[in-house]
Amino acid sequence: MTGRSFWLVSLLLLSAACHLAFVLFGPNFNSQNLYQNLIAVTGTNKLQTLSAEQANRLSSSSDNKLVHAVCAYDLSRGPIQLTARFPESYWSVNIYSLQGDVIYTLNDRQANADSLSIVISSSGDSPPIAESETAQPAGLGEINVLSDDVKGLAVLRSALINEKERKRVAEALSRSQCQVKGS
Amino acid sequence: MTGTFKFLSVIALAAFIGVSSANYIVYGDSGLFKRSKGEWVWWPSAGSTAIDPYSRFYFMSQSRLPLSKFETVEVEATTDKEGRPLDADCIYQFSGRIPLSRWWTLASFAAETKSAPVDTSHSLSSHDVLFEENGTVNVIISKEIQAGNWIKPVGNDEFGMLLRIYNPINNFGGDAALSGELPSLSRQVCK
Repeated sequence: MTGRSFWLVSLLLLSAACHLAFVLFGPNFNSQNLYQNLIAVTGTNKLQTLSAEQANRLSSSSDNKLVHAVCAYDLSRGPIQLTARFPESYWSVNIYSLQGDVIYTLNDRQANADSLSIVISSSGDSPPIAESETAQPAGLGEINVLSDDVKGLAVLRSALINEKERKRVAEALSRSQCQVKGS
Repeated sequence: MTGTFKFLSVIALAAFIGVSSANYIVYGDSGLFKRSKGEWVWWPSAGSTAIDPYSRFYFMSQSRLPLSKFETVEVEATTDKEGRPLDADCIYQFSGRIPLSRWWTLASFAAETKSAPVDTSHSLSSHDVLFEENGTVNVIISKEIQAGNWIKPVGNDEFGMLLRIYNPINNFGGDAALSGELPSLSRQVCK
């Protein structure tokens, strides 16, 4: 390999490495920041209903026609039990990995219930099962969700028909709980 | 040129190429991981376990949690239908038919920071919008208050619009919900 070819090949390989590192690891800083900022408001393994200002500050472009409640979970002390109670309007539960990937979702029409119980466990604590089996159909009691990450977020969202309802919807969501299972 | 200088130059150039190419794929018009229709763009793999690294980068760089693709379609626009950046000094008309869904919201955000203030004048939902008789929607986007459906742009410079369609009737989790026409953003007048 001539000197010029060597530098050219080195440039290509290093460029590819920089590209991948930037794309793959760059978001980790932001997702860790997001998680830490949420913990500062909600604490760990606690569900907190956010004001519109808090929701907007913690996650940009959050929909202010929704009321958000967030639990920043940490599975290092065991599985987390999320007991959610909802108002009558549209609601959804989204469970995110630490990287911000949606690993489980359910809404009111799918659940056909105004309350539900979800247990989030670390996939390292359980025998591996297929991804399609990680979420059981709603209405069958406790829903089990496996997370590859020890940390993540559970986000409850409920729709506002108008702004005057915010307090009522927030109060309904605040009846939900997130805690280490059995504590 | 010494070997050390060459080595450092190659590293600097590689870092520049690596970061620039990543930014081009994420924010440019490569069309590799985002889809577009007219002025609207969306990230089809966002909001699922199958999210690609570029979509994840896009959302996390804004500290933004994507909504589940199985229940929500999020499309955003930072240009009008002619491809010109949305400018807060102009008046725009958002008009057309929203894909069939359970409900939807439309909000403005600051193009640079992606932030959206809590002030209710910056967003509307299908619960508080006035529909035309044929089921279409017309919304005026303007700094000054307008009669009828009105949204105030965020900030004084470039801004964007975010349309979230909750529980689209057609094909949860796919692009089929967006197979029909999307509303257009047309510039009316500028100061």
